[in-house]
Amino acid sequence: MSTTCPQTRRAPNRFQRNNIRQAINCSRHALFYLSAISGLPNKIGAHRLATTLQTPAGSQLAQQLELCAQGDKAALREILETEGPKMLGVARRLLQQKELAEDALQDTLILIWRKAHQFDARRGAAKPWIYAVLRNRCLSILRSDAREIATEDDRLELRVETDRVDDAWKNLGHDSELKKCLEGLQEEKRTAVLMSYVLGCTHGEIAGRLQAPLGTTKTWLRRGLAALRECMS
Amino acid sequence: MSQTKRPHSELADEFVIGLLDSVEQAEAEKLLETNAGFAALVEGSRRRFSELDDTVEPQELPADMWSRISGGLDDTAGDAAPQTDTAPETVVPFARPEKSARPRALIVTTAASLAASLILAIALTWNVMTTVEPKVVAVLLNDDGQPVAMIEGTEDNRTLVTMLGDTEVPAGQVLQLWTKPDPDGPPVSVGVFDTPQKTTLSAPALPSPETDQLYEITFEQPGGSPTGLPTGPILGKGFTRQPN
Repeated sequence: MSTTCPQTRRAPNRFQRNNIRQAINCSRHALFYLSAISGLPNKIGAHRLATTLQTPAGSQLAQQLELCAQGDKAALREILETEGPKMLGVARRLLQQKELAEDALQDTLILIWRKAHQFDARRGAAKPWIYAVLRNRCLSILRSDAREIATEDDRLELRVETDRVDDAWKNLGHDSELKKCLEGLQEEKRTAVLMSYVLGCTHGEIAGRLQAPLGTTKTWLRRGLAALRECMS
Repeated sequence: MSQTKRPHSELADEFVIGLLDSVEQAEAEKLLETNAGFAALVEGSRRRFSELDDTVEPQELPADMWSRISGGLDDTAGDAAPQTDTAPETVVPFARPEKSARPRALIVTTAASLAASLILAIALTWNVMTTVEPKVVAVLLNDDGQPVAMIEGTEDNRTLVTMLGDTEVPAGQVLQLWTKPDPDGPPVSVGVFDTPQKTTLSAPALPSPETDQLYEITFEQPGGSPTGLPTGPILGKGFTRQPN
C-alpha cells in the first residue's frame, strides 16, 4: 500500500493484491475508521475562515486573476503570497509528501497563469476556481503511475489517514453549513464522503479502507452526496 | 453521445471530487464546456466543498517557491499564452472565448461549428417534426393557476417546451427548466433558454421522464442558476401526465 491512496484503478499486481488482502484481513481497520470519525467531539479547532466567495478577499483574487490574464506576474506572486500557504496545506493533505506537495503548488501556479484568461468572474468565484486547479493537479499526481508504491505498515498508514480525515472534520466551524449537513448523514456515508474529498480516494480505495463491497461504497457515496446537495440547497 | 444516464447533479459532484472513471470524466469535461446548467452545478459543488479546503493548516512556503514558479512562466502570458500544458482541461473552460492570435484558425473553427450547429438544428427539427411522440406531457401553471408553458418529454429525454401566452423575461435574465426525476431528490436542470417560444432541450444524462414528475421554470441569471439549484422566481410548475 502506498502512503496515501494506492492506485487501485489499475488492476493490482500480485504484490499489491497481497497488500490489499492483508489490509482486508485486518478486520480492525474498518472499525477503526468508523469509530475515529464518528462521535467526534464537537470541539472546534481554532478559527475558521468563512468561504470567501463574495467577500473583498474573493473579489481581490478575481482581480488578480484578470491581471494575470493580462500578463502581470506581480499579480500571480500576490496570489502565491496570499493563498499559497493554504494551497500548500491542501496539497500536503492530499499528497502527504512535502516535495510532492511543493511540486503540485508550483505546477498549479503555472497552470493558473496559463489558464487565467479562461476565468470569468461572471460565471463563478475566483477561490473555488483556483482550488479546483490545485485539486486536479494533486489528484493527477496522486494517481499517476510515477508514484511509487510504498511498503510502510498498513496500520500506520491508516492511522495517518484517519488523522487527516479527523482533523478536517474537527476544523469545520460551528456555523459551517457543510458540517451541519454532514452531521445529518449516516456514519458510513459521512466517512465515505470525507475520505473521497479529504484524502482524494477513489471508490475502490474507500471500499478497501472500509471493507465494504464496491457497490455498497458507491451507493453510500451517491446517497451521501445527494443528501448534502439537498441539505445545502 | 452520452453513455451516462446519471443526473447531472450527481455527475457534477463526483467530477469535482474526482471520483469519475475516465469515460465519465471525459463526458463531464465536455459537458462543462457545452452545458451551462452543468457548469453551474459544478460551480455549486465546488462551493459546497470549499469549506473543507479551509480546514487545512497553512504551510510555510519554501523560500525559492516564487523563483521556481517564475522560471516556468511563459513570457507571453494570459490571452496569447500557448496551451502547452498537458493537464486535463477540467477547469471552467466555458468562460470567455479565447482571444486567439490566429484569425484563420478562428474562422475555420467558426465555420465548422456553424455547420455543426446547422446540422444539429436540422436534425433536431427533423426529429421534433417527425417523432413528437411524447411519453409525458405537463402543463406548467403560474401562481394564479394560469397555464404558462407546456412540456413534452420523450423517452430519450428530449424536452419540447412550448411557452403559452406572453411571458415577459426580465432584462438580463434567462429561463431555466428544472425537473425532479427523483421526487425526494433535488431539482436538476434540464436546460437554459432565453427566448420565450418553442424550444427543444436535450438532457441525455437525465433518466427518462415519468408520470407525476415535477417540472418547473425559473428566471435565472445568464448561463443559468449559479448554484445548480433554482434560485430565481418561479414562472410556473406542473406535474407530468401520460398522453392517451
